[in-house]
Amino acid sequence: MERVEVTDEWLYKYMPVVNSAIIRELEKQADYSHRFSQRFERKMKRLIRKEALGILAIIGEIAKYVAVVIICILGIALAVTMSVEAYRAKFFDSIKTYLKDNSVECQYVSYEGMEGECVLKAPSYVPKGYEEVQRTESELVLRVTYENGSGKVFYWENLKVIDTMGVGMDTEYDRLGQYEIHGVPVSIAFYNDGYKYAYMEYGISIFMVSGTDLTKEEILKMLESVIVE
Amino acid sequence: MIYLMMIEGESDKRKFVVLYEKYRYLMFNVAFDVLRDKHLAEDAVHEAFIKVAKNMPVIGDAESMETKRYLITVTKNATIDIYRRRNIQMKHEVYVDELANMSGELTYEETDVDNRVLDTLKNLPVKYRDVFLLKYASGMENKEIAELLRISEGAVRQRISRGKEILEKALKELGGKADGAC
Repeated sequence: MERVEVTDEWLYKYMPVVNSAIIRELEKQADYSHRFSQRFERKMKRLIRKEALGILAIIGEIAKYVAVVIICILGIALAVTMSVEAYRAKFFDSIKTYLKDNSVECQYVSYEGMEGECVLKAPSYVPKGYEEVQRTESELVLRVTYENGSGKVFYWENLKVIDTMGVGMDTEYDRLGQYEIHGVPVSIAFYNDGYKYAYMEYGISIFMVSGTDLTKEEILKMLESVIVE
Repeated sequence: MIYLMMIEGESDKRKFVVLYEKYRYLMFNVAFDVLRDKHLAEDAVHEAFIKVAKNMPVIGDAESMETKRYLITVTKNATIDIYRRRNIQMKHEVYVDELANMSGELTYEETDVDNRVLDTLKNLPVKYRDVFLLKYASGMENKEIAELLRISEGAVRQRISRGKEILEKALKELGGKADGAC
């Protein structure tokens, strides 16, 4: 056999051949009759449904079909001193648009004074048995995944509000609970299969918690832990 | 369900749907081969698609081999994350070999080299093969590979260099065997 010199050029020529062969084989082995679980289908359907709609598309959708409910909640820009009282006020408006496909789109409009420093927070209280297993953090987003010994997972998200941000939530829940923590409104959506998500606007950011095995009390306690800190 | 509007452009949003429709089975297969649990494999696919949604601008033609390789790699990462979460005590590195449960030979397009040479490339240890596939088949820069595989650029360079040494040794042995056979 001819001696082969392993150069970049040689690899650029033959690695694509190997890649194609591997992928063809993987595609051949994939089970295209596999039935994904309802849980997965539901999660992906909602993700896709919203990813498939841009803001412009949503506006078009509104014009054509849907009843639009715009809720503008006036925030009060108080002093820069971030006491609990000051934080109780929001520094932005959230405009919620209810769409015909059982979802709600939140857009945010900030006030002056939003430039203040925003320290994204994870909860200081976490339900017993859960531990942080993954954290994604940037200037605008903190996403923490918690898991307990039984493999149950929940997600915590804290997002700094910026004007271009959009957050979507579905409204196919079985029940929506409205609560208050130290005067701060909190919504929790309950599903019959145990799944819950919570949403809270506070200071210059929003907080979201989602998971299947949390109780309402645990969710509220976690949210409270970032308010009273 | 709460989610972020992560995808900016309309064409990217459409492409995302195409990727989901076309490749979820393939991605599930990659995850399931390792996790051996349907729910966990679905979680891996879901997490992979969240990652894909955040990176739509870097994804080219939905049909291209580069896109398929990217999706496989993202799925492998999500699979490793879930595997690690369930094995918190585990200290060693984890690799997902998409060929591990494959039976039979690969069928290569016809080239001017012996298929045994191509098999040598295929049989590289997975940590090197992954880098080689992304660099030499998908044409990614070292920096992009480092970000995708969540390793340093130095580690990418080291794997390329070490991978080439392994290859040269394997090809030399192959040459020796072939010469002996003649």
